[in-house]
Amino acid sequence: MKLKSNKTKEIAICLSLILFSLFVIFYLSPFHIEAEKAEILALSPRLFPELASWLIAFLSTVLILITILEDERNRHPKKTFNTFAEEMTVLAASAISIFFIVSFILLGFIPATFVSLVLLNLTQGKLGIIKNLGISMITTLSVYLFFHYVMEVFFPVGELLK
Amino acid sequence: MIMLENLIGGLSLILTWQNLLAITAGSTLGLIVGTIPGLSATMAVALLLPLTFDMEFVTGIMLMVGAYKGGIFGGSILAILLKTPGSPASACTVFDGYPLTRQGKAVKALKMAKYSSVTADIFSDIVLISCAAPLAAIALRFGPPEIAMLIFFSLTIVAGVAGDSIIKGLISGVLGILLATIGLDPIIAVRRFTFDVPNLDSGLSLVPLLIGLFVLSEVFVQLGNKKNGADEFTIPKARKPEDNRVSWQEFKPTLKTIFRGSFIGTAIGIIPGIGTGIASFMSYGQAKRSSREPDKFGKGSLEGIAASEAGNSSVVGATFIPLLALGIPGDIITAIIMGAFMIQGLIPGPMLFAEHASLIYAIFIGFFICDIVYFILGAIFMKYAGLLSHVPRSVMFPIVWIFCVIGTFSLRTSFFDIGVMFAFGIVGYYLQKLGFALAPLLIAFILTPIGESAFRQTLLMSDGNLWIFLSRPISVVFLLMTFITVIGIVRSYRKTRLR
Amino acid sequence: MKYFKTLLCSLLAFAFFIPTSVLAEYPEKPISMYIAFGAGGSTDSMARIISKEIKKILKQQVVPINLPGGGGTVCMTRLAGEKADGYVIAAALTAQLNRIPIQRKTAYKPLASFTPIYAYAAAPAGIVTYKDSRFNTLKEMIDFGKKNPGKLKYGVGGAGTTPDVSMRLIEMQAGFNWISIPFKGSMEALTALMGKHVDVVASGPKFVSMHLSGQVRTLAVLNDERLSSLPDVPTTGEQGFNVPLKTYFAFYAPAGLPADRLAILENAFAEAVKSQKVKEAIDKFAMAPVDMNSSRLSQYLEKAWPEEEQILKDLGIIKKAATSPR
Repeated sequence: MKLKSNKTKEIAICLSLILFSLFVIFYLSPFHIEAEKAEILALSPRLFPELASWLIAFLSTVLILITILEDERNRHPKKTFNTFAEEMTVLAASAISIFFIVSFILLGFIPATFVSLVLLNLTQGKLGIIKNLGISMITTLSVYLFFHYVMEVFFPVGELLK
Repeated sequence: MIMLENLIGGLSLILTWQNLLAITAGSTLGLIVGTIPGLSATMAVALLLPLTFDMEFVTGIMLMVGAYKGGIFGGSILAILLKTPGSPASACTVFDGYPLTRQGKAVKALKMAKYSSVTADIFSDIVLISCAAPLAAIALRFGPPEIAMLIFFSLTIVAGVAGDSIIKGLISGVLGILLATIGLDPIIAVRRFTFDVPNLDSGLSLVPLLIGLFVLSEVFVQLGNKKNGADEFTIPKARKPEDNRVSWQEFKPTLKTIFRGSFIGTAIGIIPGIGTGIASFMSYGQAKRSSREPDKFGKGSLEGIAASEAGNSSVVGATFIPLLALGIPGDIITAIIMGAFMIQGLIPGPMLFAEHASLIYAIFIGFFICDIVYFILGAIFMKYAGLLSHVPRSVMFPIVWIFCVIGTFSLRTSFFDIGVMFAFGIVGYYLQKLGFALAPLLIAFILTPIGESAFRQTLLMSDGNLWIFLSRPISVVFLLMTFITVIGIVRSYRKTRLR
Repeated sequence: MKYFKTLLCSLLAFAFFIPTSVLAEYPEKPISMYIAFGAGGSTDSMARIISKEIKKILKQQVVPINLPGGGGTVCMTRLAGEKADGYVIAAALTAQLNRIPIQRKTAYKPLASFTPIYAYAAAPAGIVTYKDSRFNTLKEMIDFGKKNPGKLKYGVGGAGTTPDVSMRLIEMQAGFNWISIPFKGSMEALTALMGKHVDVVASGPKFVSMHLSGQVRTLAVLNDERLSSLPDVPTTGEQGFNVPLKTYFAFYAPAGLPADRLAILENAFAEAVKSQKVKEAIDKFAMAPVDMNSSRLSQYLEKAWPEEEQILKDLGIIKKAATSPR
């Protein structure tokens, strides 16, 4: 049962790849490349994107065929998907990343970094609260000082604080 | 005779305490910057450029060269210890360096990297000094058709780094091609897939893509992979004393790989317009194909590290060949260094060789001194890197995360770049989980702009006639090499499936 | 006692803060200078040298930040969105404010989004061939082109750049055809030339140093007057061609820069380019110095827009301008 669902997952991925490549060929390429159709396709800016998409479609089809026809014995049992806990942590990390970008723009470097670091450490659940705040603060300040004075990169002041 | 005179002249110019200080300071800065995720040798060199205006010419150049060489090695340190490459040059070192770290052999891996790098560096420096002019003349023979065929050949390396599923690796690669087409068309400057976002006019920037795809995705993997016990630490402790050394018996068999890698790296560095990113990939791919133990690649093969490092180090000296002999920079960093030349009023090229030969020789000798310095510095650095082994991974990776973000931001002070980086972090994470290798995507992404331009320029040159590729000797050579390699790949693929 | 100490400390602390805010005058913090091209190029090197002089004059740091891409448009788009408080300026060419926006749509309004500050040099362009070429003069090359249609191909640093458009003007005025092969920058085009992969290249300033070192031969300078660094090379003007296109190296600020700050910057730049170091650099990079303050530069840009638009329409490159100037 488990192996079969792996196969289904693989086929699903391939089908979506095929759909994607068709999307590029029939929608993105004609409408989002600002050029008229050239007489010689080889000289057109559309050549490479379309060629690449056809290749993706072709390779995905080959992969589907191999997946269907493959002998069960040859499959390397690979653990490709995560446990729920892992997925949750990764989702949390992504959410924190988005939060970071937004707060970086709105509040500036130091508050955004500090809070994001604290949150990330929380997702790991390995540091006590005091150590967490301490390490986050030290890291934030050292990064700030290094970039500001050594690398001469100036962080913009947050929009809300201007 | 003249050469001896110039050599002596050069020697006296270079052996001043200011120059030695510059070399040391530059190498140190390069090592530090290279080791920080998100920052690269390019940034270190660009940072030092304004400082060189007020310095003696040779001192300024040596400062930047030191940073260049140090930066590359810094990126390798990062790649080995944290599975996060500092730049495309060290992406291949991750494949074998990181598994060794997990086996407790981090120091062995680092030492191997250092020995390979220094050997390769010396090789390309010797080439630089002895045959710069004739080699540069050969490099000029590489016009658009030759470059197109060379890139075509380089794409075959993709198969070597495709991981377990070659077809998925190829798909990854083709996705890389597609991503590279975003932006302004290189020939007629029309927008492709930019959706009216001005920042995309120049396409997806390489560094945010690299950092996101390789570094950030690894951060996500590590954050999700909470471990306990001995695995908790960033760098596992060595289990046996041999894990901290590289013995002569281990090193000797890799010499062949190092020389091959040096040769490849030097060749790539000499041809202007190819860039240095793919030198380590080509060296790695070739080494894997000709190795007696190809299965060990990717699991901690010292040969793999040697190949990657030889490639990325030898390319450095070689990029100076077109710069000094012809006045053509071989890559971005040499372009910056050329700026330093120009600002000092010296125009690199054959005239410089004729009028200021001792300056050039001073720089050549300086290169060797750089190699020695960074051999020593590298050892010191590794001791400090060892301190990282006491830091638990769960603390390390949030910090890496911050550096990624800030490093990417500092490139162009652009929030857009940060967004690109995060997007690719997610993409990289899921691609890996679904079994798609990431290296092919990176390679294709780097090679496509060069390859597409070269291909379309060729067609313009030949009025659309494809026979031009067969009418020029060098391009025929590469075409043949591509076919031979592809046949080789198909053969070995069949062998693995039939097992 | 305890409270007295605290009071004293806070007063002292205040003492440090007050002067900075009361005596504040522009520029009171570092100025960011966006550079429209990558590090090491001529725009970048000149901008850095000039910014060092400005630092001496204004007693404030000028921090260069490279924002290459889109032929310089990425940088200008960024600049257009910044606050016009005089703390963000950009080093670019005039092409980003006429030639390029006319050919493709940019997110900024070329004549409305910026305050031009100062232009300090004109970038020369030239038609070059490799040193043992069969062509000794431009005329020989054009005659060859007329007799062998479709055989003559020229390399150029980018499609639609000043040298490229100049070549098309010559094409139109001489009545023949040659084919443009765009490369990524003049450097790459000149490299291809040296390898004899193309017969001729239309290049930006880089060709001068290559000519002087004997690696290439200049057939004509795309200008009306001869270059001081190349007194023996004829110009296209002399040979009967009308190639009025110019590109100036200039500095800009976002639109709406207050007049007093503009004056300070203008004067600072004017003074900076008179310095020894900058003059030498302009010479070394084979540029022709000019002295255009804000109003003269604005006048030039206003005049140039319809002229360039007309030229590009006459050449058939565009039907109408891709971006509206305001």
